Amino acid sequence: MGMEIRVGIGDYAVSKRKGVISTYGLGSCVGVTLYDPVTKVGGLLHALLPEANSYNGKGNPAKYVDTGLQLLIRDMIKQGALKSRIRAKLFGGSQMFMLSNENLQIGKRNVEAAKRELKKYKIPIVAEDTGGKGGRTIRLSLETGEVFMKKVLSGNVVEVRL
Amino acid sequence: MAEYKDYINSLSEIEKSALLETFNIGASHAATALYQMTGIETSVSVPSIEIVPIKDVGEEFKDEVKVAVYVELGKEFDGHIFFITDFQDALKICGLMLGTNECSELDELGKSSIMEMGNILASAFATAISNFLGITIDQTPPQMVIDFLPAIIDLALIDVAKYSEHTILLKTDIKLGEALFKEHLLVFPRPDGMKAILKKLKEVLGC
Repeated sequence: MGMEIRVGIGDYAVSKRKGVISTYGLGSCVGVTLYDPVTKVGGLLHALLPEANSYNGKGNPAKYVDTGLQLLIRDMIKQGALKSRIRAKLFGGSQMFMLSNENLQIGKRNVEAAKRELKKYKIPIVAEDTGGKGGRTIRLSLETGEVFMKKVLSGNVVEVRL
Repeated sequence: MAEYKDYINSLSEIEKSALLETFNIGASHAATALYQMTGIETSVSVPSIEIVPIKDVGEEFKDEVKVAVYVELGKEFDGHIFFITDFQDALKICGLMLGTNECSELDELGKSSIMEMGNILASAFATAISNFLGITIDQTPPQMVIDFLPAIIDLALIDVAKYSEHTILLKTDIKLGEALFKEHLLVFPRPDGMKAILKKLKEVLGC
């Protein structure tokens, strides 16, 4: 499949080379893939927190959904993507454990923030696998824009194409 | 709060070793509790304290599937404890706990045995630190999942990411029997919980 670019937690990457962009184990974190099918520019964001403003916007902007998407879209365009052609796929935002503290139930808020922001940029979401209780590992193919998602079901890893 | 990494780096050697010793006390008590429960010789490694960029935590754990028991700590020491084991080891632990050879699957009974083991480890760890420093530590009931390790721990990273780009990662290996298997206890203190502990430590040690 060629080169694999791995995106860390609270990080993003954009590329138009052959290969894949991937990220490991999204739990409550949210993973957004963006893809322009004509120029084959693709990008992936792995964000931990919904809005930068709720946390004083401190630190690395890629750890927040809103400022992270801003960077992701900017770099996509820099590499030749046309905003009107970009399609998004959305993953993660699960709740791995029942928590006492409402503030930690952040998966849902992460997904809501991603949907709101993408709507603002008029980028349609063409596939989604969010919520629930389990983790997700995703790989975006830069040739096709397809996303290969792995989940753990009863201790076994299953892969689906979206 | 100043960047957590700078704060940790500014600690003196004495403070760092005191911190390490505190967690070591916690880990040793956890091992003793395990020995009392299973009757199997248990040893625990001196914990390692690493300051890791949150970005790199995924790369450290990859997408290995693990069995994890999670306990949240609160009050005077805020943090998250995970007892992490391989699926195969979980089956062995299940057998030890239930007094059979090895479980063939993790059914409800098997799951609760793993959960109980994680709970005993986390409780012993928290109680030892609480006694040593004279502080109150609350803990939630244990919960168990089988999933990708980065997904399991990301709630702890999310909690720390509100304050910092780095997390403290406390790791110990717990060995049961003759190198029977190694299990990990991962502790992610919240930055304010970490500060509280250091303050207490300084009082206790008079440094």
